Amino acid sequence: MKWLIVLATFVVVGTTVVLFHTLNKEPIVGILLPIDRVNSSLGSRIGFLIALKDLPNDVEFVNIDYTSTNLKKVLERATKKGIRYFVGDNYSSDVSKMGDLLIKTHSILIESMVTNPAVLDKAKYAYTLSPTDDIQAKAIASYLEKKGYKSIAIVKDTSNPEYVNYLSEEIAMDLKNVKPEIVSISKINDIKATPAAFVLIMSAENAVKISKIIKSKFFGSALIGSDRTFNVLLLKNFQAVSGMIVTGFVDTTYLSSKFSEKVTKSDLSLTPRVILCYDALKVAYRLAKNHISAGNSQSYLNTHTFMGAVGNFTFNGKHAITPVYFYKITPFNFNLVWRFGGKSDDF
Amino acid sequence: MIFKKFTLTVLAVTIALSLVGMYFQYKYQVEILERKTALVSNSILEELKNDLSIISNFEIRPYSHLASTEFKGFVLMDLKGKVLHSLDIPLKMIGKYSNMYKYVVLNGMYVSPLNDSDGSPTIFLASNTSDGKYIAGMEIFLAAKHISNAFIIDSTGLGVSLSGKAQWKNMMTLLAKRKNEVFVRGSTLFILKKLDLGGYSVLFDFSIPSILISIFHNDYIFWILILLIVMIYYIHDKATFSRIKPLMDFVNFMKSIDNFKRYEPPKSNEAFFKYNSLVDKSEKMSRDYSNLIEEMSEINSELTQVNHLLIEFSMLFNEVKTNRKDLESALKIALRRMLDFSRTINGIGMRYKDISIHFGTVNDFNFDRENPAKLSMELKTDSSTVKYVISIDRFATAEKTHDMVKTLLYYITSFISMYEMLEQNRSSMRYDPLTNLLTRHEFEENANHELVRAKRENQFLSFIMLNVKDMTGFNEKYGHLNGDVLLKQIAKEITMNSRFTDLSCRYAEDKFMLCLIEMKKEDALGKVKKMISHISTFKHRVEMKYAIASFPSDGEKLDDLLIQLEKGVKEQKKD
Repeated sequence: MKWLIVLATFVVVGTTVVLFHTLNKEPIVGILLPIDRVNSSLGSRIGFLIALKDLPNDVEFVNIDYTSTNLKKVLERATKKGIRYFVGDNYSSDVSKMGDLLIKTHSILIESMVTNPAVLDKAKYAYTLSPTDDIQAKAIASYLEKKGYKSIAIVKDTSNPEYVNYLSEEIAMDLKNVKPEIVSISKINDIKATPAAFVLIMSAENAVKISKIIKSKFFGSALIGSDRTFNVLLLKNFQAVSGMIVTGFVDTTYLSSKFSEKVTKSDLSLTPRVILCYDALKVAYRLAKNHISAGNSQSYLNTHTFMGAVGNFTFNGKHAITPVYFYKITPFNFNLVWRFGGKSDDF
Repeated sequence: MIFKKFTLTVLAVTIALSLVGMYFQYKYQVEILERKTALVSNSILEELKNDLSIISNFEIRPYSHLASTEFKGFVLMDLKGKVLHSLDIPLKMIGKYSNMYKYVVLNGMYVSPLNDSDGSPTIFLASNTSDGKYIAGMEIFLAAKHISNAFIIDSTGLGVSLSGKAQWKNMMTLLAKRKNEVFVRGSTLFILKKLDLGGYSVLFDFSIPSILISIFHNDYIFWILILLIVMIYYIHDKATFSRIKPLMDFVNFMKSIDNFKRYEPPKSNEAFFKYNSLVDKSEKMSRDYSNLIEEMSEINSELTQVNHLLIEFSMLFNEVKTNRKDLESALKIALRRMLDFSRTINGIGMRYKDISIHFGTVNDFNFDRENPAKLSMELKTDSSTVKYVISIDRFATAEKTHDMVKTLLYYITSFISMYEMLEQNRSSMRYDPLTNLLTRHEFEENANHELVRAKRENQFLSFIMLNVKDMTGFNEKYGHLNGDVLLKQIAKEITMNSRFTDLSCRYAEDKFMLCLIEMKKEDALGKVKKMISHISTFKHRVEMKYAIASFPSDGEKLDDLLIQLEKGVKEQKKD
């Protein structure tokens, strides 16, 4: 009898401890990073690392490494372990692979730089810190109209067809007073009359090449580049792109000095990607800490203010409300000249 | 009794010995692992330093033997960032805007994070050459150490296995959240050694079960002995022990007095209660004392921060004074810094004239309605008021911190006051106080700009000089008060008859000037006649003279045009 009581006590205490441990388990945030393109994920690693050092320990963080071929399997394994919050700096194509699994497992994904609105709409619980392409298109169209350009040519490359086609068509639709001419990079010589402005939707490398051609053939035309052209490569080729305006999603004017110190102390460089990844991890942390379910995630994000590295921001639908910034390329730096969205449209 | 005591003593000694043994075994095992880790990390560090010294002495030759590493490519640049020679190095890594150039200029050397070069891990090293004339860089392949449980990790948390196979692994959570060099995650013991070069570390992982098995294996004789003693003790009669229990309680109580700790007696009485309350009081005092010390050190660090902020603010506001930054941007930066000042400040905002700035949990709504949870302050400046709202954790914040925040706000307000006075002074220098038209100096400066613009855009520009004939006589006849009224009337007519883009000024005591943008001489003549006809309706008789000069027909420089105008007015006087 005595032994039976002891045994029963052990069973009851053991079950209570297991239950208590399961219910009070810290929420886990999984940081998704590709290991087959480590060179291009440098900025995201810096942003995530700084955020991890800043955040308290009431939420557990784990690294989830994947390659472009095993992403779905890796994510499935992570959700089986109970991870419901993910943060990443992936391509749109990666997010479209994850969409179904996020819905099935009720998991939330916070992305730093995915801008394709179609992909985000399909992946129900995926959100982004960057303005979506439709907003960028509106911003570029507003800038062109504000400047009063009477004739516009949109030049696109073939590196990311989904992105370049969508953005060029949206800009054309948003321009109310001018009907722009959309041409492929290879057909630049087909343009006969000199347009007042060229919009370049392409990689930075292509933007440098095409700017040289435009400057030699069409004297005096203005150059405006989409967010993909925003790269330090433009500074290196200043002669070719002088006077060009490029769009970006981060303004570092109000960046805390402690933040930039953390980057420069490790001999690393501060890029917009670093800041967006930092903010993305902080958003994922808030969701996990407050145990926000996937179903409530959109309403939570849309009704709360988040404190980012360069100021406060909120969400509108699937993306953060951050302005689109327009920078002029100078011999040494990108100079902020205008912004669209945010507090005021006039800068 | 003697047997029991003896058994207990032997048991205690055996357990103590085995525990001490286990502890030292564990320490010894960890020490061995640490030594192994240090050996590997030192060898990697030596290799990197060796490579750096080769670079600084500029001995890079394509087929030279470099310790245990091979190199992929190299670059040589001058001190201005111009690439002189480069072999197999990606363009983005070199040149004036590369991290390599920036950090070599800053620190004399640069060690890049890990790079994936076609599946092999590489590191880019760069340094000033020893003659100080060049910057040399080299991309090296990471040498395989054939250690399966070790990783080299760069400053971004990316690791690659030292086994020789390019096995990449992100380890930023381990890097960010660990507190010591040796730490445990799950059933793995990690040892992390920093390399003191480029933020690199070497991480070893060891399975804890295997370490424990080896320790138990060494101590098994002790554990068998403990088991035997426990068995003997269990068999022995318990009654003897119960007889000595009161004595044991007394001994325990005496020991607790020695240590001045609470004593929980089997049966409570008043003496024990008084003793325990004394112990409680003493513990409370000790806690209060340590809290006080903690609070003082926090205030001390905050004071240092306030000093830093005050220096930063004065530099920031200096930029505003010298027109290198506008007031709103400076105030935004100042408030953002204040938000970083203390972790107890959750939000901060200010409203001054049209400027409304808020960060954190403070929003526009808080300025219009008082919120008891937020601290509101309204401070007067020279000609206006500034309202501040601060969301501060009142319970977690010391009173001194409140005072420090207020000091910073007073400092910002006093600057705004100074800025207002400065603006007032600037404005009075630009405008004539009687007529509110531009001063002569300001007019000439703006007119020169307009002339340059008209020349560039091939536009007309007309200047009119208006002069009151015999102003001295008018003053003597009708008094200086009436003279001032007349000048104001003329200024009013000039303002009403000029467009927003035109420039007008009081040129001398009785002379006025007008610069009409994109206007021909004929149109300017019509305008001046209209103005004079309006002025002639003044209550006292007044005669006006005028002259018109146009760009480019009458001259291309402002001085030439002014001479023409003066001459024109003088000739009209003679007539």
